[in-house]
Amino acid sequence: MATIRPSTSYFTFGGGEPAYTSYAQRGGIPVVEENVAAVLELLPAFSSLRLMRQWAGITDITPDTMPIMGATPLRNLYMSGGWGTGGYKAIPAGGDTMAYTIANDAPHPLIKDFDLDRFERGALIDEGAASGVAH
Amino acid sequence: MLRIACPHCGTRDEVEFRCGGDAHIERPGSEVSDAVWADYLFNHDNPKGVILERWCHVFGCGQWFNVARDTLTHEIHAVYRMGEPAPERYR
Ligand SMILES: [Zn+2]
Repeated sequence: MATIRPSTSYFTFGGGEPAYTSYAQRGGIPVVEENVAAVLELLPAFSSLRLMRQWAGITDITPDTMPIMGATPLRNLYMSGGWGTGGYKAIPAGGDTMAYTIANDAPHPLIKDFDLDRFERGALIDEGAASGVAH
Repeated sequence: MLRIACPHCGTRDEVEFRCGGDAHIERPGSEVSDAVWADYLFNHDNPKGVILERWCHVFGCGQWFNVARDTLTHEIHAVYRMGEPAPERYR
């Protein structure tokens, strides 16, 4: 998936990550190629544009690509992580529901399935499409 | 772009390969607790530095092998066959 955000004289687009662990923070040519191909499939006329610059960082991705939210085995330590695939879309709701969870010391109904224990229960969240990961 | 030396085919671009995660982990028996099983499935080393991984040459010979790769520099330090021990300095 590519996300395109129009600006004054250029477009920003992005998405995806290498399919292996990396702390290099420099992106990878195959990922750049994949992103550009997705944009050109949608908007072929963009083939005449030039790539001005690229950004790469570290994304925290869980085994089921969904964030982990809620209590941890340590009392009063709460966790909200693994947002690497969908943070900028979902974190407003994530913040609200985490505040509720901490204030009440009980998971908000919307995020109870996102707990750390779901891996042990085999209750992974199959929502790859919602996270915008390549599929 | 990683350039990986398949032990069977020679050096190719990373797009021909698939990373299969940690090498040298052992599957526990079926009688273990859910916690142990989940630990085997989901909790792995996440080093900033040399990691030992299984890779498969999916768009080539289809064979699995092991790679010692630096997650920070992307340097590939060693490639060795399945069943072979990791080079001593990376164990
Ligand atoms: Zn091969």
